[in-house]
This record gives sequence, structure tokens and C-alpha cells, in this order.
Amino acid sequence: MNHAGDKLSEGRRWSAKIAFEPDLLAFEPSSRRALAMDQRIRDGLAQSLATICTALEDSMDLPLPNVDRLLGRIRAARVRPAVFALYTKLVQAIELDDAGKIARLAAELSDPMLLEPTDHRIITLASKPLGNDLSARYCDILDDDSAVPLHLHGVTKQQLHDGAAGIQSALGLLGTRDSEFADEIKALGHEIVLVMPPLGSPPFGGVTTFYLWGAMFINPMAPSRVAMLEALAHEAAHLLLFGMTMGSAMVENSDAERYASPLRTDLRPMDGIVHATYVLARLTYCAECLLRSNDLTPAERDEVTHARRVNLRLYHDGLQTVREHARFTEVGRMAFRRCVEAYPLP
Amino acid sequence: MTTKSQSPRQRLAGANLIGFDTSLWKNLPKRNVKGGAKAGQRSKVLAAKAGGKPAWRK
Repeated sequence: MNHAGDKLSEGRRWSAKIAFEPDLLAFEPSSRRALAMDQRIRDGLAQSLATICTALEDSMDLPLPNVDRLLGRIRAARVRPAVFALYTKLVQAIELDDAGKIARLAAELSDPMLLEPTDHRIITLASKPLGNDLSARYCDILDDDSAVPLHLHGVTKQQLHDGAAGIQSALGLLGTRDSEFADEIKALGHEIVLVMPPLGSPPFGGVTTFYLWGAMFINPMAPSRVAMLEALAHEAAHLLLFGMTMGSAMVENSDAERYASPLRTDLRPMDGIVHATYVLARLTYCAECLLRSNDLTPAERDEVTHARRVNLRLYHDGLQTVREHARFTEVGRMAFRRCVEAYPLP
Repeated sequence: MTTKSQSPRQRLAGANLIGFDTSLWKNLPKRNVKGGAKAGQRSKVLAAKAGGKPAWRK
């Protein structure tokens, strides 16, 4: 046996692997990393659905004839957030032991809509292409906490048109200076859903959830393209952390433990504090990208300079809280360390 | 060991389902109460939503 040859080829395999696989926990933006993350999550989703389908066929005699086609599609290419939404509702129905609901949701696994191609798109609720049922499902998944209801609704045609133009303009601005960052945002949130809260609600900029992986919910009423870019970079940072941890928590702290948030007035669990702090570092990074651009108007430059100063101060506040109280999971510690290396405490 | 009489939840308790901690299902009552904020959501690993406040209103 040629051990030297084995070692050489093993070394080459590793080199190839390292050269091929992007650094998943890097703080700096990478669209290739975003796509690799999406692949990992889709592999996990396909495996989870396969496990569920086996259990359903065995225990409920539920025939699932077309599910292999869906599983193959999930493994092969990006899928709409609707697939993750269906998976989430199916798991919840199983947790409830609700046989009727399980059967109805399992039947949906054969819906050809789930196999549709997934170009980047900007849409809204309660109209095509989502329609009423899927919109309601999205809202149900987002709004699972009755203590902090969002009650989001779709926007008008004009708001959809203007919001989409605002998003394209914001990403275009970022793209002139850092195309990798702009492409990463588009890769992480390939379905941007424009939404608004009811009149009189607390301020709302956007929201994301792991349970609708690939979707990003954005308020189109941002007052400037810089503000719109902040909203997009904010939600993309949440998605990035979800992708890094594959849907597991960043910390081991109990949800009952609450701490001051650098972004919200209400006390939040440590996972939320870590997320908010990471988001603020990303917003600071985004502002620094823009300040290197020649495409900002003088008013925009002032806006970005102010935003960078505020975000960096809030990041330091969050970082202090995290350092004092966070008990990280292994992946959480590794991911957050990269953020602190990029933006250490002064 | 799994048996035909087990419900999907019993069968999947402890299974590796992305985003969910199904080990909690081992100790749930036979059928959860429907309705309410937590119905069907005990096993979620993450809070449902992240984000919220617009940056321009800081």
C-alpha cells in the first residue's frame, strides 16, 4: 500500500475541499457562502422531510407517492420559502397529534407549486403569486407570539411598485461599492415580501424567521435608499446567523433570562441580544462600505455617517451585555468570535 | 422499538428535524391543547421572528 500516495491524495482532497467550500462563519459578505448555506439547509430539510414521510407512511398508512420528486428537487436547487412553511406547519401538526391536519398537509407535499423555479422576486401578501392561503400561512408562522403581535398585511400595487424600485436602488448603490455584499443579501433573501403593520403599530422595518428560510419581510415605506439598505442588511444579517447555526440557537441561556437590547426597548432573551449585536456590526460594516462610495449625495453621506456612529455605539452596548452574560453554543461562539474580530471593543 | 400503534409524534420523538427539538415530544401529553400561543410550537428551537424596528427610527 502506498501510504505516501494516500496522504498526498488525501491532502489534495482537503485542499480541493477547502478551495471549493467557502468559509461559512466569515463575517465579511460572500454570495457563494450564502448559496452554500442554502444548500446545507436544504439538505437538512430534505432529510427531515424524508424522516417524517417514513414515519407517516408507517404509522398512518399515509401514501405519499410524489414525495421523492419533491425531496430530489429540494436537494438539487433552491426552493421557495413556501416549502419550509409547509414543513413547519407539518411538524407543528405532528406535535399536536392532529391526524386530520397531518393528512391535509402531507397531501400538499405533492403540490407542483413547490417545484417552481426560484428567481429573486419582490412580492406582497394576499395577492399573486402567494395568494390568500399561503399569505395566511406566512403570517401565522411569523406571528406565533401573541405577546408581540405583528398583524402584518400586504401593500398596495403602487407601494409594491415603489418599494421594489427602492430595493433595487438601494442594492444598486451597495453593489457599486461591494457587489459581494449586495449579492449576498439577494441570495439570502431571494423572496422579499413587502408588508406593513396596522396603523398605530410600533415602528416596523422588517422581519425574518428561520421557519420561512429564504424570505425577508420588509416595510417598503423607508424614507430613503440608505434607510432601505439598512433594513435589507439588517434582515440579511439575521438570515446569515440562522444559516450559520442551521436553525439552532446561538446561546444556551434560557429564554426566561432577559437582558437590555441594543435595538429594542423591551428586555430580550440572550439569543436576541446576540442577534441584535451581530446585526449592528453588519450595519456598521455596510455604512463603511457606503462611505467609500462616490455615489452618495451629500445628504446621504451625512445620513450614513450618523447611522454608522449610532450603530457602532449600540453595537458596543450589545457587546458588553453579550460578554457579561452569554453562554454560547459551540457554533454560536465561533460565529460571534468572527464578528468581534472584525469589530473589537475599543 | 416502533410499533404500528404509535402516533407520528411518538414515532418521531427524538428524531433529527431541522429547526425543532423533538426530544421534548417524549414528555408531552397524548394530545396537545389546540389554540393558544404555544400550541404545536414547543419544539421550535428558535424564536419565530427576528428583526422589527426600522433603523431610521433609532
